[in-house]
Amino acid sequence: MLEIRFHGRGGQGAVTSAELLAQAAIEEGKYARAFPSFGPERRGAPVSAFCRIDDKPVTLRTSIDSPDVVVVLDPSLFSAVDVTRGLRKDGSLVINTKKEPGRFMFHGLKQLAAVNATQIAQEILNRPITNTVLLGALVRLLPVVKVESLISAVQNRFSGKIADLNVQALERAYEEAQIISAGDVDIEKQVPCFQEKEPPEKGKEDKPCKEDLDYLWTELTPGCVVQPGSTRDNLTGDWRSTLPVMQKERCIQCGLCWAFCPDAAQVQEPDGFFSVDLDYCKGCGICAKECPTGAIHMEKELEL
Amino acid sequence: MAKRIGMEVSIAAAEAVKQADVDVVAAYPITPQTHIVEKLSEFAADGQLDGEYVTVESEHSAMSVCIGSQASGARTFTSTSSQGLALMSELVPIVSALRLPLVMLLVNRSLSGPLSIWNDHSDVMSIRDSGCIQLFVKNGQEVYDHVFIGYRIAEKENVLLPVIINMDGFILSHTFEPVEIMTPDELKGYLPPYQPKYTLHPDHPLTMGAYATPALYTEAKKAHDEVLKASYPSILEAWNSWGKRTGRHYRPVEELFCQDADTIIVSMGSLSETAAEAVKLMRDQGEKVGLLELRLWRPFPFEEFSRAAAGAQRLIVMDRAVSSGGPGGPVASEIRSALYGINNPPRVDSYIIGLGGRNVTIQDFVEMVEKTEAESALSPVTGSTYEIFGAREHH
Ligand code: SF4
Ligand code: SF4
Repeated sequence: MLEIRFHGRGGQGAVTSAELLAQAAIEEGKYARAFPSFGPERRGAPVSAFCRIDDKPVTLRTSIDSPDVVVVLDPSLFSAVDVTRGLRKDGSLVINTKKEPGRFMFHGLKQLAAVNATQIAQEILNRPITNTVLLGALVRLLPVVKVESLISAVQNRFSGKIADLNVQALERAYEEAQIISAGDVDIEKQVPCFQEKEPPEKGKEDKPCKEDLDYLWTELTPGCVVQPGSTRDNLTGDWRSTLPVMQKERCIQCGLCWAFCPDAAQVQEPDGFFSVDLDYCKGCGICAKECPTGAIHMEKELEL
Repeated sequence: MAKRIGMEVSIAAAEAVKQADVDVVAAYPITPQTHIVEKLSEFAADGQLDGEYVTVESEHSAMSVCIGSQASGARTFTSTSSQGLALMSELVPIVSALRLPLVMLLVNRSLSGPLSIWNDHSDVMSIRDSGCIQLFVKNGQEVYDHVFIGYRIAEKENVLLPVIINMDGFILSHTFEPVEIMTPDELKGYLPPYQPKYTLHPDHPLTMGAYATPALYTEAKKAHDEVLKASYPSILEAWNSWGKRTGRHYRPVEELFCQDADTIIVSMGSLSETAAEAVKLMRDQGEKVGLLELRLWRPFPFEEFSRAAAGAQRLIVMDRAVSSGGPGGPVASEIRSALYGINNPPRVDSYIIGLGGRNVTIQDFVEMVEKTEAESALSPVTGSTYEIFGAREHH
């Protein structure tokens, strides 16, 4: 059985990627299951999706905690989410990056495919929806399914022009993907992007990761009443896919950005100017919209 | 054999409702049931569903419309989850008491509070005693199949009871997986046109839902209880004839390695799939472990269950709802009474797991088996009252 985990941001189509891949596998007579990490959906927030493919019926429904392959749809996720968590030794990685791909290699990784998916998606689809693009890179790296089956899954899923454009994007990614194998780069000589992972203990491969909220049942307030200030503990910074950038020269210190920011992420510095608290700024762009002098503009979240 | 098609299980469910020639759908959208009713309203809007989709303002209204439309002789479908079921629950015992053969897909989700949109069985357990036929399915194919099977059971002249099909929210409803979709030819004849016994019609006036004084209520309840129990052979018949047609056979309890098992895990719904993997793993390691999957919940298959479980020394019962202050999880309590009085009954341990969407892994099953086996070495007869498994006790 092959286990693939997709990481994306809400709206980029991570779930669709997993489903298209499963669809292609099922078309070929294999068995597959795809499903999202279930929860409220927020555009821009990190999401994951899972796909299992096998020659015999797939019966597991648990989330994939030790994948064979990890696919990352958005470059800003490398810093926000531990994307390679639990990746099996000799696993594979498929990433969206415009950077030199060799630097993503790490000990224990067998191979990776890198493609500038955001650019391909922008040019062909006119939107940064990178799901079909990364599938092109994935099948180039690993013949999980035939390209033709993937294309027919895409044509099945979308209609008319959108289908054609997605097929184009997929094919172009297949062509342009850069493949790097373990021996190709001298890992010692570079600053690693990812830390080498401890392989999961035998028999414990499917243990869920530690949850963010780890209260004991004895520690809960009666009725689960939440004390004020709880948003302090809830770092919303990882939802961000765009970042407010300030130009001091234009700022008149009116404080409107501070007043309008729904997350209290604008902080006044001793010199009177405002700066953004990246732990909490969720990239909504309200401050940029409200600033009367145009001192704030939104930029795409940085890669690493 | 029909071709396997990849689709989201909710969509497969909607497809089945469309193919089952349903006349009326009345439902109110609620997570995680949404995709089923969205798809059905789409089918109705573009003429693919040869019936009426009634939009309503609440689940209470949804069930009211269902009762009305069933009473007028229309084959009717609804679906809900959690709080939606809670809101319609005033009418659930009524639809069964009126003997209206509605089919409902209950996409199981925990009841608030705390507010949770994720999966467990607390919703269905709240209507356990509503007098409906209730069953559990574990994968997309079973969901699809049971829509047809459900109507065949429900509409039999000697049954005429609502059938509630339980499918786990998200982990089943939102999974994309292969499902064999039947052709109209393959379905032909399985579901005869619905012949209601009584219908509300202005030309033939009659009363439904009259009240019963103390002189009658007991008899009404007795009649209802008897018909629910007597539906058992009709349920088997619907499964058998589906099995002959499709090669997919269903039983009230499904057994895996139970024959020579010392320890048997009992589970319901999609958890049974993970449990089966755990059992296979433990078998490979030489442990005599089996799995008993309870498919039929009402009427409870006492005989089949006792027969399948009798040889084991230990039963480990998975519950996905808490019966606070009671004797254990609802399923475990039922099983303890099912086994009461038999010779050398197995020890029954009650574990409450997978609440509010908590992931249940293969390793969890292994741990429960190991723990039970260790404890039962000390006390072979009585099992633990119950344990809420995995609730964090220590940092
Ligand atoms: S984008 Fe601006 S308004 Fe929005 S959270 Fe960040 S700092 Fe606050
Ligand atoms: S709203 Fe604009 S001008 Fe006013 S303080 Fe903020 S950055 Fe400066």
